[in-house]
Amino acid sequence: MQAEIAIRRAMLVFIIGVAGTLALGLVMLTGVAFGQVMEAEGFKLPEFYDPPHETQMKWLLEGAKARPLAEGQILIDSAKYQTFSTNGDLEMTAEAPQCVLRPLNSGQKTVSSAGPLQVRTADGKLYLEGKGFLLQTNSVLIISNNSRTVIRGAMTNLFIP
Amino acid sequence: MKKIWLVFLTFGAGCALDAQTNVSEPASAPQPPAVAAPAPANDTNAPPRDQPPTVITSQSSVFNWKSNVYVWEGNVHIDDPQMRLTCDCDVFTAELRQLADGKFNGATAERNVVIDFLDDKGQPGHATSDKAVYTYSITNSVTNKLVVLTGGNPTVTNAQGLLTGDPIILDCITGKVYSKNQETRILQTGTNAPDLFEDMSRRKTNSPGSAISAPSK
Repeated sequence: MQAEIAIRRAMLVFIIGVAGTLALGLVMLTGVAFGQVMEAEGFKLPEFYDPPHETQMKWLLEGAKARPLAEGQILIDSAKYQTFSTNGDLEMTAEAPQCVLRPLNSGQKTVSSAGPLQVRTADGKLYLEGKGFLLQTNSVLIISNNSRTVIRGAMTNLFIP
Repeated sequence: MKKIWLVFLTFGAGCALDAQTNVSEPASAPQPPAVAAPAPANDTNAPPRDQPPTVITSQSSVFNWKSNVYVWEGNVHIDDPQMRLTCDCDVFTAELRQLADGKFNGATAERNVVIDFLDDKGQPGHATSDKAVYTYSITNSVTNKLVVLTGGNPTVTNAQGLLTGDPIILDCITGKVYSKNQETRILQTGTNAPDLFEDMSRRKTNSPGSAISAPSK
């Protein structure tokens, strides 16, 4: 009788142990899968000029971390967007703690966020900031709230973000 | 986008304005001091980098560098201490067409426009209208910088008094203020105030037509 009880206890412990191990493994596997597949560090997305300046970078979007969202969108942390002239000179830098990159059917891309944005030209003459923005690469920047623009000195050269 | 700033800087050149509040500004918003002593910054030849910056605040802004149209909207406040100019309005639009001399020629302030300025003699002035259009042009080698005030019973006040009319034209080159109709009136006259107001009836005889027939709408 005591032997049967001991066997049953041993089986119960074994079953509980196996079930617990399987559950923990399942949780770990899920976490690993999401961690490995869904997030990347050191995100970089460049775009280059059309010929004859096809070797020159037009703009570069970087982020400390990035992970895909629905419909081809990408959530980017610590984002930095830089534009360059055809001779490679830095024109301006835009920075946001977080933003979403969204490809458009036209081939254009938008970068947007409900959070803050800071933009400054390389020569330091122009500074923009605000909260909530939509940047359509190479055409439009919309700042939705608390827009502040600071201009220092005379602006003599074309500025095209 | 740099083109915008040329417009702002030239917007104030010669018109020399200073601070004032916009009636539509929220009470909590920080406001610059009211029209006061002449700002000395414009009287120096200091290099541009040493001069105070122009600051534009608004609720929102749109920078379209394909169409060269730039818009600030909602409680817009432009403060240009270098040119001694402030402008409050609901919408400020800079539509930029580059001229041969590299300068740019258009800016419009709309709805509840309040402009405060110091003229080249340091006299404070105050202008209100529904719309203010700045144009820069060169005709026969003559540079024209005009601000045309229209709508909303435009007024310009300075040490001389009050000028009303629609439109009112501020000539940023000469510092003169004109009205296109006969409703011009000066309610008070300061003894030593500079003669900034010039009635159309006086101006008709000697003035070049271009100054009066400048773009007004």
